[in-house]
Parts: sequence; C-alpha cells; structure tokens
Amino acid sequence: MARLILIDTATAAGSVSFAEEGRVVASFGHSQAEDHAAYIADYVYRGLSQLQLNGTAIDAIAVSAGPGSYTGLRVGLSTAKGLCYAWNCQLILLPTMEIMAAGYRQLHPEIHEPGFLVPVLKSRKNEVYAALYKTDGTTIEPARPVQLDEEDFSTWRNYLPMHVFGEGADRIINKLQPLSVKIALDTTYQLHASHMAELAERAFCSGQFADLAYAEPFYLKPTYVGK
Amino acid sequence: MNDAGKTNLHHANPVNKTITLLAIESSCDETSAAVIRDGKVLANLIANQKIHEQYGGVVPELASRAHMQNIVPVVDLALKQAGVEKNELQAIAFTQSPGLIGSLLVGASFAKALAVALNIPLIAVHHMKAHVLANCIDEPRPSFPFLCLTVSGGHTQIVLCKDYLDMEIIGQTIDDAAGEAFDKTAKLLGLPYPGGPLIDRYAQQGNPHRFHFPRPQVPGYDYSFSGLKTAILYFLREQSAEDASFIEKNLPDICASVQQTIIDILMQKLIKAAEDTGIREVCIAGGVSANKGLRKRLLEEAEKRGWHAYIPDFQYCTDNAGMIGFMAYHQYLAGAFTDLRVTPSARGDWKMAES
Repeated sequence: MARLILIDTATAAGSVSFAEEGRVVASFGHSQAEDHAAYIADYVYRGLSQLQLNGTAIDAIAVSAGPGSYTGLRVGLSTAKGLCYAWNCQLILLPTMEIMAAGYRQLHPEIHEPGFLVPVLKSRKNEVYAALYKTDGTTIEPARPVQLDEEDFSTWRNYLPMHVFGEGADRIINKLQPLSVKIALDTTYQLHASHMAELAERAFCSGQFADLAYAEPFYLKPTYVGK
Repeated sequence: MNDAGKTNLHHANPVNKTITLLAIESSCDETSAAVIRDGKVLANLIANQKIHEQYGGVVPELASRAHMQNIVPVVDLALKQAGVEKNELQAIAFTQSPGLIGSLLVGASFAKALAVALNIPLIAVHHMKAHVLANCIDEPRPSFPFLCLTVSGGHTQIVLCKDYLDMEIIGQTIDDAAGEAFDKTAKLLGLPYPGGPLIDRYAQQGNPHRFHFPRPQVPGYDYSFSGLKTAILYFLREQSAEDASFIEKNLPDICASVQQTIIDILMQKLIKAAEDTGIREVCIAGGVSANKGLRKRLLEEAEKRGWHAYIPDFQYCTDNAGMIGFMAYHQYLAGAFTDLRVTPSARGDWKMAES
C-alpha cells in the first residue's frame, strides 16, 4: 500500500492532497490566484498533523510537473524535493495534462462512449497548452504549446466526440468553428491535486520515479533570452 | 487569508545544547548551502552558474532553472562535508530577500519543505544584513558598533552595525550599484562577463591617474554611479572615434583609472561616515570587496586614520550560505523564527524577520 502526498501548483490554484492506495484522505488548497509559496509547505504540515502522520509513513511525493506557470511549477517541485530529500522517499513527476484528463473523467462518470479529451491551459497571447487523449486515458498527442493563429484545426475534427476543458478551452473552441454537437466545452474544470491520486498510485506501483537531484518541471519551451 | 492557524515550528532549545543549522542561499546566480554549528561554519558550498556567461549577464529564468537542478546536490554535499546528519539539524535558514524572485522561490520552497519534514523551525534571513555580518564569522572580528561598506553587483550601502541584529543603513546608492559600474564598464571595454574581476586584474598593471572621470556630488552618505557610467561611455566613444584601437592600446590605464574613480567615490563617503560617527571599526563586504584595489585602499586609509579595518575571507565576500547561516545563528539565539507562510521578496524589507 502506498501513502503519497500529491502537490499541484501548475496554475493560479494550488493544492496538496494526501492519498492512500489511490484514495484521497485529506486535501488542502486555494482556488484563487494566491501565493503558492506561502501555502504549500503549510498544507503539508496541516495534512501530517490532521492524519497524525510523520515522514516515515510517506512512500513518495507526486508533483504535477507541467506544463503550467514556470514559477508555480518550481514552487511545487522545490517543495517536493525538500520533502523527498528529508524523508529519503521517492519523487514522482506526473504530466499536468494527464492529471487534468484523469480529473475530468472522475468528475464526469457519465461519459461512457469512446471519445477524446482535450485539456487546455492558458499560456500567453495566441498560445495555449493542449493535449489529446482517448477517454480511456491513452495518449494520442502529449501536451504541447498550440499556436492559435498557426495551427490547422481542421485535423482536430478526426477526433470526435471531443471534450475540450480547462482554462483557455474557449480559445481552442473558437478555432474549431463551425461547432458540432460532438464538441463539448467546459471552462469550469479546475485542476486539483486530488485528481493525481490514481495516476500517482499507478506510477508508484510500476516504479516510475524521477531522479531527485536533476528532476525539473516539464517546461516544454526553452528560455527566451532577449538581447 | 487571516493569521488564524499560522504555523510556527518553534521549539525550545535546551540550555547548553549545540546548535546546528542548515542555511540555503539562492538569491541570484549562485546556489549555496552551509552548515553552521554554534556560529562556526562547518561547510560552505557554492555552485556557480556558468550558463550566464554567454549572455553577458544573469538571465533570471535560466538562474531559476539552474537552482532547481543544483539545490539537492549542493545541500547534500554541504551536510556530507560537515559530517552532519539531517536529524542533527535544529533549524533551516534561507535567504528571504532581496534578490531575483524566481531564484529566491526555489531556495525558500526547498527550505520550508525541509523545516516541515524535519519538524524544526525556519529562519528567514535578509541577504544584505548577512553580508555585513560576514565580517564577524572569523577572527579578527570587529567590535560593535562598526561601519560596513557593502558593495556588490546590486547594492552599495554604508551600514552602521550596532549589534548582530541591530543594523541601520546610513547611506546607499540612489541609482546604480558600484558593482554594476564595474560590470558595465567591462562590457563597454568588450571584456567577457563577469567583467568586474577583469577590470581589477588589468588595473594592477595600469596608471590610475592617466584618465579623469567625474565624481558625483550627492548629499549625505549616499552614492550615485549612473553619471560615471555615462561619462565612461562618452569618453570611450570619443577616443575610439579618433583612434579605433584606443581601448586595445590603453586597456590597463583605462581599467586602473575607472577603478580608482569608483574606489575614490566609495571611500569618500565611508571616510565621512567614520569621521561623523567617530567609529574606527570599519569593514567592507559584498562581491566587490574581493576587489584588490578596494582592499588595498581600505587598508591604506585605516593606516592613515587609525581605523581597525576588516575584510571577510574571500568565500564570504560573494554570495554564500555561510553568511546566511551565521546571521541565522544569531536570529536563533534571539528566538527570531519565522512562520511557515513566509514568502520571499525581491526588494526586501530592512526591518524584517529578526526584529
């Protein structure tokens, strides 16, 4: 049985969940744009106190590794690295968009028919991050920056019915005109650490661990250096 | 959010017990970790980030990314070198401000996680105050009150230090830092980054009285270096227009003259502060205190004026966690711990944390 701490700071909302055998047993978070740096370590402290656990009881720390806000991702991963280093436990990096797909399926058990999931996150002007999964979780296209003005969205119609969700989902939808009943939009989906529970448990059981020293967020883009 | 439920990992320290701290510094482009026991630095590891050299300056995003990869190895090596186990630590200290926010966040988040995981208190340290106290790490130590001229790439300050945790800025730059003047001059001369140390090296072979640059007139103990930077730019442009190889032919003399000017400006206010306050314990600190010309000049002025002059060991001049840990030790003794919800700050508040 794995006891895991799950951390998500990829977007403005930040959260920490505690999971046992893939089941969430405690959660802490803020949904507004707040200072992740202020709260994440405190959430961990509160979770340990509430569940009356100490570090020896934790098997691994799983982090939502991106894409997302660079600063947010670094707060989450630095916190995870500190916990792992102190407790000599394993580090698990999970792609943020896979977490979103898992979370969306969890929140929408009514989706039965085979189809496709497109999680979307805001990036910058004319760009979003998006990925394409089957509703069973299989990856068709991993997360990447999508240039809204350059992408040929006609090929996206090969993947219907499609559920487009997340912050920035409406920006993709605008490009998928004319709309069809087979394209569903949901801009209310909110990323949360609790959505990591199953994926993290699976990664733990199959031994998919990251190198503690050299692990870095999935930035997906090189640093832009102006002259 | 309100203050309710604030978490302070605060533990009473039994009398006569040794105090062992881990300190983390990540304010700019150096990832550093140190282990301090009872105010003595057992290990002080500094990982430089070479990557910035190709860009001619620190690129904040690259610095943040490099900290993320350096933090675990640097902390681990510091503990191993000190022969200290994680469970022997009594507190975790980190640089809270000032600095590059993305860089500070990596060190702060890591430090906070360690404090939670090891269930020990957290100490937030002001980087510029730690620079001042770097003078008190090893013998000979200045006695209080002392004056400290802190000079780095980002700061130029005269600090009146009355006690470990009682300091006051009495003068500072109103625009550029002295270190910036060195680095920008180096850039104008076509020297690679970081250019400050190269100016110092060329200056050793040059004539400091060959060229003359203006000294700013700023009231009190404050400084200004932006005018000098512009004067050097125009000077080099005019001379190079007459002779394209002017810089090449006169590099040592240009470096010596610029260095002399910067040091003159720095010392003039320090001398004034010493005269006005009557304090004869005088220190320098910060990255530019590694400058040979400045060190020599401080010692000359001390000789002439009957000061006791102090310069930190080289490893404590540039950004390092040793000084953060030393300051944190004194904060520990004063019981100045910080709440778990502390966040780093780019600009920094001089009155923060330990008071």
